[in-house]
Amino acid sequence: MRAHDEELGAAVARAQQGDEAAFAVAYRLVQPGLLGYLRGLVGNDAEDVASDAWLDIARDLGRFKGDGAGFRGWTATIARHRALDHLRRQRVRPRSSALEQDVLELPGPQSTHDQALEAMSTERALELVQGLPRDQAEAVLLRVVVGLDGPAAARVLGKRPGAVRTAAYRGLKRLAGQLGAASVTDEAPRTLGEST
Amino acid sequence: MFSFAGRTGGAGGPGALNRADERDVLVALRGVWIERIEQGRKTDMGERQSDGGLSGRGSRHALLDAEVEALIVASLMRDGVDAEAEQRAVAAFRAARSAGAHRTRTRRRDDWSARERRYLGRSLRTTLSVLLASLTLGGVAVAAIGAVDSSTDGPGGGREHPPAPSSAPRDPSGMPSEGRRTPGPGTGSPSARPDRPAPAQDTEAQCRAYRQVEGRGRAMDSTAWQRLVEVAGGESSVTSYCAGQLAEAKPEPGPARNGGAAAGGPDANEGANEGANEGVSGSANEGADMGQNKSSGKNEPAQQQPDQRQR
Repeated sequence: MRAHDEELGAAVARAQQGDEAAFAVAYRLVQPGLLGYLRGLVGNDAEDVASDAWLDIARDLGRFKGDGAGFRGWTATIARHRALDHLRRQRVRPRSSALEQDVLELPGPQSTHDQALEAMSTERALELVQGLPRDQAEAVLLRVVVGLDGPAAARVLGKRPGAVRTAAYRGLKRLAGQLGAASVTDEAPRTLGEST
Repeated sequence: MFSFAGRTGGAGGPGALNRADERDVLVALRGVWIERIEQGRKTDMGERQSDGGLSGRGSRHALLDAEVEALIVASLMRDGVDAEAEQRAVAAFRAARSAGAHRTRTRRRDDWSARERRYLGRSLRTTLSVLLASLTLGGVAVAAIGAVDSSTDGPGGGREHPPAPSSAPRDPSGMPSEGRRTPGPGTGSPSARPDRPAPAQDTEAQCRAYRQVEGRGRAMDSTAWQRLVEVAGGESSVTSYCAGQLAEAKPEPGPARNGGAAAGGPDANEGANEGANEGVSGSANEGADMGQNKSSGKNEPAQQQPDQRQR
């Protein structure tokens, strides 16, 4: 995704000069990641929130300064504000309940085959992402889905880069533990065999 | 089903994932994972008998970060965009363009240029180092004020710590306070000025700090340093003055209330004490001597007294 950053930067620059088609190009490059991030934040309402965010983005485009990667960060910040507004309006708890979270963590090494299958589904993965503590979930999403680097993700979240790095690391480890509870990659034993 | 509020979709229907491509992604991904699980079960069983706990990555956390990331991306990202939503965004762009909104000023939060990002990083580092430096110098300055004030209490010298007025009754609790005082280790009267190191230590610290910053930067302009220079009798004498101070300070081992450390006092600021004694009349004579020396216990009540009154 970051491979497109150059293209994105050029498109944004042209859009800032008033090029409508270039704006559409930027939209297509940014929207999937933005929407993925918003899905993690507001679930089903992601599309609506993204639409709102794009109104802001279109309006403020002239103010933006930066390259393609910067544009991802800038748009993610706007989308995040929209998402938080949305959650506030809804007065919905942004996290699943503690009870639910406990249940999500349960499938351990002894899980049955069926449970493991369930754990592997993408829906499950999404639930797990949403079940992470908010800072971890956001850090993971911004890094992985939006494609921001550490400092940019930190700026979006208004935190220190170190804190965001740690949060992303913990989030990924936690997900790996939960998702990989009953699975083994086939490479692992082979590598071990070679090294011993 | 993707909502935090509750899983309305659940296992029943695909809910938001009703577009064909999305379902394809899910189905394909699910297939991949089922396959992996099957493989995992097989290797897992074989491994358990043979590896003897050597499995570093183990069977429990077998997923690499990259795999988790791929799964997240597959779960949350869809290729392609909704054309209608795109049209809405482009329409908003058009409207903003014709309204002239695109010629607005860049606010700080809109500046994501690489230079700005680097600048942010540097400014944080700069802020921290400035903070650290100010703390260090601030501490030195506080110490210096203590040391220098007490040694220049003469006319003109002691604005902040006027000598004990002669009319002041001697502190009746002076003697009891002697008992209250913990016979702690180290220097003279720790409890008399709990928020400040003992004067001799002040001077030592100041001298050590002086050696560090000597000739460097604006630290030498500060009032505290100028006073140090004054006390030492000229900028050129500071080094030797400090050398004397530090040399005397070293052989001060333990609970030296009126032990070796006392030597540091009179020697260090004889001249200053003379001035101080002039400015102080009568009964405060003992207290006026409260400079660097921590010569005797008798001094301490008087030393304590003005401080208490001022605070």
